[in-house]
Amino acid sequence: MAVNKHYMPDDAAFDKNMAARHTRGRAWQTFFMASTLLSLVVLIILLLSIIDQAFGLVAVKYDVEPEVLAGEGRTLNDLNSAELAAVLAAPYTELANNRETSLSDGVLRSIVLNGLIGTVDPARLGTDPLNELYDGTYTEEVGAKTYGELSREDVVTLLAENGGETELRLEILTRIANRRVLKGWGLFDSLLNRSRIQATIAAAAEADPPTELAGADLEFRSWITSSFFTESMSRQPELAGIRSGVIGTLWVVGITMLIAVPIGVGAATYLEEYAEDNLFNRLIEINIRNLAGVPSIIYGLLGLAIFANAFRSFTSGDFLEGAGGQPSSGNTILTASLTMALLILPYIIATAQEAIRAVPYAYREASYGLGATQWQTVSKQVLPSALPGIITGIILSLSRAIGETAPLVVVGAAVFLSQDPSGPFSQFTVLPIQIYNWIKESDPNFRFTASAGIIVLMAMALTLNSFAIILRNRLTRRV
Amino acid sequence: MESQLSVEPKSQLLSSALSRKKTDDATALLKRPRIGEEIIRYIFLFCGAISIFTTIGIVIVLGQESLRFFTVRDESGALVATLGEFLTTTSWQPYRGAFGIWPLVGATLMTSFIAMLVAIPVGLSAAIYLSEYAPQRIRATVKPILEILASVPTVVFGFFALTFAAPLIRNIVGTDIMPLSQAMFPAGLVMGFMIVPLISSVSEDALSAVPRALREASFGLGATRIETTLKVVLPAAISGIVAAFILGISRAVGETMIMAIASGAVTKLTLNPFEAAETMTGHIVRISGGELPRGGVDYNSLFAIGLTLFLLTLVLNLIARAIIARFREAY
Repeated sequence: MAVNKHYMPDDAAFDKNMAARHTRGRAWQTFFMASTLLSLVVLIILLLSIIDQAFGLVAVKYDVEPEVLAGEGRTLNDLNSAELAAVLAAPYTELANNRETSLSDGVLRSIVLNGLIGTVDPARLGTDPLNELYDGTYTEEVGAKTYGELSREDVVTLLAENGGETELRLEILTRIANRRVLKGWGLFDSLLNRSRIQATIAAAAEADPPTELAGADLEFRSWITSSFFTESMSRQPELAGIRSGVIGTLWVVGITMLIAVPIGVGAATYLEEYAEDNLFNRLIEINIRNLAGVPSIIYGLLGLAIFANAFRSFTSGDFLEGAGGQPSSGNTILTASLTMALLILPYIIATAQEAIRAVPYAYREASYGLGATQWQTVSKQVLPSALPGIITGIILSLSRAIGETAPLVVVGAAVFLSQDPSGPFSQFTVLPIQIYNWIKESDPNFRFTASAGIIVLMAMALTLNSFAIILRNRLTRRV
Repeated sequence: MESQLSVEPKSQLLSSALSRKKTDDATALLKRPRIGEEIIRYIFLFCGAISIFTTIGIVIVLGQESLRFFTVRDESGALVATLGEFLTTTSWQPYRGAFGIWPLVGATLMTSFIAMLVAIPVGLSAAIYLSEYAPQRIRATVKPILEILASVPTVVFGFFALTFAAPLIRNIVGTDIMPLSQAMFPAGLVMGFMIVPLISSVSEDALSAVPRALREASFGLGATRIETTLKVVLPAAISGIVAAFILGISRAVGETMIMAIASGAVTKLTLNPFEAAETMTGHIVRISGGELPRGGVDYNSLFAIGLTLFLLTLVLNLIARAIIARFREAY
């Protein structure tokens, strides 16, 4: 066969062309690989930058040195209850602003309340005399007074005679001595530039006038401590904890799942097992796909208008108390859960549909062949076989619900909670919203608290996700 | 016969078999009304219908409250905001009574654009690498890692943008160019990486759906791997890839926490990505944080912004769906 020389290059040109084509190929391949690598690198940097800010050196300083409070060369450990009670009531001078001050009567009374009386109905606190609230050593005169009438002297004698030394010492340390974190550094900075940080503190003492850092102790601090899990919100970064956020998250996500899982699986069962191919059912299908693409903040607006405002008497729990009660706020855990349930429904439905679709048709035929009804077939054959797939979808939406922030800010999460969320009708916050509020704080030390919170949040989300991924991979392998 | 069996709807199969013997005991069994079955069916139907209620709820809530926003009058009887002002003016200053949506839309589009500048090349490259180049072992490692990236809560990305990306970029470009610690560029950049997993997984599905035969034919004609990828596989999968891009844009437009944290808290119409400017989503979050009196102008304005956002993402999603349906190559 004759070969047209215009179409066939000679060997040298062919080799050159071939080499160029392969070079181009390798260049593209490197680019593709580098891009993939880039996203992994970003993930690693993200994780490192968060770890960096959750641990590190901090400069800490007492507002008042404990030794100064104890006086005469003694330490707080040498003092007995009476002396410690006296220290609590005595005036002291704050080092930072050189200001003489003392704990107010109200604060002193609250020490009595927290340390001695314990939890009691606030209404009784105002009316009942002390001898009905608390059984301890005190004069009859003091026992006849109500909590609000206790004077400074009464408090001191009460604490001196009934307070434990350890508890009183702790009260002095937290309320008066107050060891505060003035400034923090990141982990890598702390490890690599320790001497420079020490120099900063030394320089602070020599500056004229000495800056706030003067005389501060440098210590290594992990911002994730056991008290970080048990403490509630606080205006002081090192005292703030995620307790109310975690409790809120558990409530919100728990109720969300109670609502969304049955409805989601039910809808998926309807679409896969019951629905005929008609206009209405196709509309439902298309609608669910479109809902999955609606930004989460729109669900927040929906929840705000419908659940928090239009259905307020339901979501605030007022309907339980009957008419005439003081209207309470509709920005409750129930509102948040209903909103979140609508948000994750499309995901649960879509994954459950896939799982149900994967069940072989023979299972159903066998079941019908044995005389089972449709519901018997669905409940005894189809759903049990689809269960692992459905659970994978549920776990994935659970992890999404845990991290979701925007819609809950919009439906009205509380900015500051003095009490833990305690039920469907209480005010709420969730962990990611606490983190968001810390990020917005003007005190830069809240960055460290936010990082510590993020580590807990990511640990929760990633554990759930890895679990779901493992579960799914095991399934795909089996089928 | 077998295929016919599986197509035949379940219980009708039984009834057609039994209908011939009307006197049989089984007939009595069949005709027994199964009320329980019907109730269960309607319960499931109700579950499915909830999604319809949700959509109706969204449309009514956004529409009604927006309508209120455009019809509410102040003490002097003048309209607080008109639709014309909303769509044509370029200043959003609620305390001065200026309600022009464009600064918010502008910032949303700018941050989304920056995000797509990152997400499209990186996401598509990752998809091509995973689908066409990577050995099975690497795929099995990289895909779960990308899924982890996708599962990071967005508030974390926001924190990362504010405390890492923004200071870094500010150091590079200087404080003259980027005067504030928040700006659209770092926020958009980080959002881009957040969207990479979405784009790469949807694109990879599209690439894997291209039949092996097309690749083999191309190799058989002497094409190199890259030529096959760029000239055969990519064009064959283009509908899925474009849909992935649009889904990514829609995700970027609706993304909230990164914008609320890192993009800035001033409403400003600007083309300079190093300036701080608030997006629609960021503004909604900032205004609604805390107790917002119901029925106030601020409250109503949230829904007008929400409606704009909803329509924007709806149009994008519909386009994506139409592209997938229209240009899908059925192999």
